[in-house]
Amino acid sequence: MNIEIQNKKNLDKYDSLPITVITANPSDQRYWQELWDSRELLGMMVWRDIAVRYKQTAMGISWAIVRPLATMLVFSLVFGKIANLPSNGAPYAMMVFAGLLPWLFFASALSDASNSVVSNSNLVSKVYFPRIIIPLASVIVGLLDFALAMAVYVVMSFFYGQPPGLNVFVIPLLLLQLCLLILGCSLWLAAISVWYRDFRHLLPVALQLGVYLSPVGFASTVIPEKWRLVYALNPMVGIIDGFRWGLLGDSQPLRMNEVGISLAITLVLLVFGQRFFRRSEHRFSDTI
Amino acid sequence: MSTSIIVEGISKKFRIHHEKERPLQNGGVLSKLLNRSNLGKNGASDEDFWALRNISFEVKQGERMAIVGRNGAGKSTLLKILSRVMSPTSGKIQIRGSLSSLLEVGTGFHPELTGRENIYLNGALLGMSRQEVRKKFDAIVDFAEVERFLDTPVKRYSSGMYVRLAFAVSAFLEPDIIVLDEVLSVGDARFQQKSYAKMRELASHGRTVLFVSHSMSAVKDLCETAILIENGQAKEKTKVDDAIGDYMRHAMHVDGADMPQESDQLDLLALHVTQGGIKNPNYYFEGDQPIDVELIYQVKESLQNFRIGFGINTMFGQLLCRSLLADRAPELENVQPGTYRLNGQLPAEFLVAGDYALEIHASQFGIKAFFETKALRRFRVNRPSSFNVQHHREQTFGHVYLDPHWRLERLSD
Repeated sequence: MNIEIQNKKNLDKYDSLPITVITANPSDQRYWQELWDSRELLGMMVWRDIAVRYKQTAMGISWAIVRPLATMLVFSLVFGKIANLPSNGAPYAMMVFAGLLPWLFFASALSDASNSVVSNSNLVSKVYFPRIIIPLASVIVGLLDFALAMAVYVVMSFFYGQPPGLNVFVIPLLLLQLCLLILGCSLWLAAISVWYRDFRHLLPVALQLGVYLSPVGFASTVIPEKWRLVYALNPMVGIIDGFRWGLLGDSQPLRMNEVGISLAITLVLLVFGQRFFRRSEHRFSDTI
Repeated sequence: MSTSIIVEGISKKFRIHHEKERPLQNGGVLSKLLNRSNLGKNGASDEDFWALRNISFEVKQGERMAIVGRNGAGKSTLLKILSRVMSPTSGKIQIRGSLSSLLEVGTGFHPELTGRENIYLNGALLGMSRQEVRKKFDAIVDFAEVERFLDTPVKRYSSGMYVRLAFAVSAFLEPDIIVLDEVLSVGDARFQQKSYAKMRELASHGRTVLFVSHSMSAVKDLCETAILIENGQAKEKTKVDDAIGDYMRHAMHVDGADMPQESDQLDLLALHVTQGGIKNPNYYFEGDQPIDVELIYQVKESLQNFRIGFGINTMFGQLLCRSLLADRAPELENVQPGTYRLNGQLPAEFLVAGDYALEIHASQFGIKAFFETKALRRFRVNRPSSFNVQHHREQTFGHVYLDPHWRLERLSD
């Protein structure tokens, strides 16, 4: 009797189990639900990459500080002292650093995230989970270095007597936009890299050029007026100018139309990047 | 009873990329540019390859089904589609409940992380929540026998410790459906036994099991039913014994008992396996009559320590017994060139009903075996008619008949 009841229970339980349907074109129904269910895995992957990042390095996490400081020194020297470019009232080093914060985050997170699907190929070819969490984790990991660099900036700003004012409220918003921009770009690159590994070689070159195409070592006021609108098509222009305005105050010019363009491009890259990634992810394991 | 998995017409196409480049000119794009003029005939080409064609089957809840087939038959592709790692090109699968696979243990272990960290990471990858892992943590560590090294990076683990830990994490999953793929051969003999027991435990509790292995004895032990996959196509689902028989027949036929087989010093010209002078095209024989084996071979130069004869293998590839001509006649170890006919016989009521394979052995002792690929002749023995008819449909045990000349006396009432 008891056994019968137990069996009945088991059957009832069994009938209520969720049904997974697998077809050539995965359905959209449970995509976001599954993504939400994988949040713990996302956390684990972020934690894994952070734990591994500076293992067996003598200087450990201080590398996250050395890189922006060294770049800042070089740029201040070359652009500020030798080329004598203007800095709109702020110390040149501070202006460079304020621009480096978003740029270095962009450059390192983008190259990690673009490569992330390929470098996790052992997982992609063996275990199922929403693939988008791979580049997503890379972007989040990059935030750690960003936070450290930010802390150094804050210390330095007091040293120079230029602590951030009230404008600093835009920084979290800009940071969010920056994360979305990096994610948007890396969704394209990470998916394409599965088929064409060229990007591993192309991206460092592009980023190298990007430093000079974006107002990192200099203020965007250096750009001639007639080219400004074209220049603003680089979404990093709006973000970097925004960071300078937020950290150094109103003396740094910020053009709302450039911020708008940057935001629009970010959203376009993200929305279409997500679609593209989603359409290609179920073919990753065929090739990878 | 309800169904666990419904597979309907699953096909999978791969595009194979052929790169035809001359050696020493492997410069990728550059060399292609240089060779642009003859890119047409020298360049790369694509070809479609169907790894799976129109596969359909159903698995009932609690059923333990094996998927057997030779390497490259498409088993792994099928499992990857079932575990959603790959998408099918066409077809539809419905899976009721959660499915986890123990595909290649150790996936997702990071060498730099410690054993403890990797347990959590791997658990998350396999779909366990952190809480679940925490609950099972001690059991996992205990099973893997790595307590002392929990806080050591796994890159410093011995390979045995590594696979033990990897197996242990997956072994404590509790999915509704579990897919086991060739995970038996992990660790040393003792751990293999332990992991095998653990797998049997996983396979019980009314859990649905899909099992892939090349070890037919493991398949027979763990599963009730099986499908055979050949060249991407699935045969109908059968009882596990029948599928194993089909698989071995196929495998052995392909491995080849085709005569003649030639080598520098010895040619095997013909092999006849008959009963009562009659050749059965399927090689089905009665168990209560002897089976005749005739081998015709040509020796091309005089050989010393020459040994020829045959062995009998079970369907699981184990050698059951072997007999060589020189076993009984040492003077025949030295042969002169010529063509020979060797006759032998398997006695009546010797083999238990079932499928076997006759394997030709030809070697020079201590020097070499003449044929790299084994010459195997599959045959089937039916149950002797003298046997208890009521046992006729029952499972067989063992491989060789023993007649202990039973005597039963009643000593008191």
